[in-house]
Amino acid sequence: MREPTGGRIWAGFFVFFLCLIPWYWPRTSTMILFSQPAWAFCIVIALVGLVLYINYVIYQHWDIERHMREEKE
Amino acid sequence: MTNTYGVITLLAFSILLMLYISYRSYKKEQNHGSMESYFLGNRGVGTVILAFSLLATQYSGNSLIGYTAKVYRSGFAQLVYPVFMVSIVVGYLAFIPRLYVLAKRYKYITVADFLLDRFQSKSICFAAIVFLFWGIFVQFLEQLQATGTLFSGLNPNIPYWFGVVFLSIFLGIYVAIGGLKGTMIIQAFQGMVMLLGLVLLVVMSTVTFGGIGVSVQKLLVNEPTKFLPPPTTANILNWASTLILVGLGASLYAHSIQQFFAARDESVVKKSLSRMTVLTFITPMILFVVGIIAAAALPGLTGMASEKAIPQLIAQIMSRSELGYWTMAITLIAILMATLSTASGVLITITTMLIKDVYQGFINSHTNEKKVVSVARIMNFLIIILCVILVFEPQTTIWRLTVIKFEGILQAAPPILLGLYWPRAQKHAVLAGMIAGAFVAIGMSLAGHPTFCGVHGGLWGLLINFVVAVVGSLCIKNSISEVDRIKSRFIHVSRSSKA
Repeated sequence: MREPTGGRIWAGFFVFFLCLIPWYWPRTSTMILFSQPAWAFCIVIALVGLVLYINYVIYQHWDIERHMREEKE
Repeated sequence: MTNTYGVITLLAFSILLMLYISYRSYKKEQNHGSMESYFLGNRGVGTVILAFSLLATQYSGNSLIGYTAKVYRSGFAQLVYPVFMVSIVVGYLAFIPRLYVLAKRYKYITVADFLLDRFQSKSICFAAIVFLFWGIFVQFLEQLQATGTLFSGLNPNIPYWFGVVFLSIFLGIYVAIGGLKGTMIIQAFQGMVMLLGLVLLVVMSTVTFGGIGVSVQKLLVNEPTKFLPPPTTANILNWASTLILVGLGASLYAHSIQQFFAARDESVVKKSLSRMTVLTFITPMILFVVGIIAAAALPGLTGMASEKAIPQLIAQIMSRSELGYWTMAITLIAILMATLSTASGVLITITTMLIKDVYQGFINSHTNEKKVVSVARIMNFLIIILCVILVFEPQTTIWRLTVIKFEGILQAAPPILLGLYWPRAQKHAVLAGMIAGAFVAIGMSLAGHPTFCGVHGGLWGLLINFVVAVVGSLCIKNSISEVDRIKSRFIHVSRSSKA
């Protein structure tokens, strides 16, 4: 049975969580990247990563009902 | 001032279509009088309906009007908005996989059914209902306030109360007819219209006022604080706090959980969450860009006036060209749809909780199902009347309402999470945790200190809540037979998980 409760999975979410908070940028940064503030661009890229990671977790680490059905059969 | 005839024509057409869908769902549904039919659509909801109805539930009048107004006020520092919207799916992953299986196996209709079964305590159940109810009740108020703001922002001749009353009457009718399934089908339709309307909004805003690049340059020159990252450590902590507050809080919406329980099987839940993750990234990014464009194009609005930034942006686009008028008419319908979809999902869950959890759970457990469903239909209207009275004079910004809402909901997280995964979680300790958490959250808010070191009072409350529940459970231990019951019923959901 696969359930998205493992420590490694949630460690992954924690890493994304850290990347999604702009603590690592200089507070006065006026750098522009692709028409956006560079710090905001980095957050958006991390967010895209989180979307992909969520989908990976959903399809690779979550399969309870099918497993229970097979057990029953 | 905007000519509203075209908008009203489109709106009338949409309303007729939604009433028709609701009526069709009512005619199609077998077993009309049963609670499973009215409250869970006989657990037969498929992927497209679930995904779009969840999307439409999460994006509502408050996110389209209120959150975008917050982007207008704060600039890029409010980029936390799309971040916390995606984080809601992470919140779901923390408990939905197991809770869904249990709900299907033990025929739970609401999350309170699970709490009662797990803790065998009406007090915990009641406390959780109070927190979850608080959250969805405030959310319902937000929807009414957002509709009033939308209409009055669009055309100053339309009074604020008109939007509130209009939304309420129409909503009461189609929810009473359609039940949960009818409401979810309409929500799916509303979700699709909402996406179309938002795409049109961002395209027309870009064409009319210049794109994000032009807006960024303007902000950098005129209002650099709206360009820079959050300036202080407290602001950074507030960002992290908001992320958790909304990410976890919104995943605990009682109406969303009820929608998951209505899913046909687990693969429907998985596919819906997967699609929702992508949609939930695109939608707030669009709204964020629109908020930034509004900040650069319509500077100078502050306080409650800034709540009307998006309606005013739309009104300006409408007044400039025929194409702008009709595309923004669709966008306005989309915003109304978003508001209606959330309000309808919330309304049906408020009724479910009041009747099933409160009346049947605490007052009279032997009412027959047909009577319950009939009373539910009438109760929809009573709740609406109460809420209309409460929002007739808006007292605070929609964003502040949002924060207050999540601070309450969060206090229901420990019983759900500990109840699902930790067999030693003990009922008295969990209850004490909830009371302590609520005391901190409410106390900080009433004392005029909604945050401490940038972290929301609700999050401090959650921390205290967890600590009290865990430490208390370690001190007051569950009996061995109780631990065995919990393990076999809730923790080992399949035979192999015992190994």
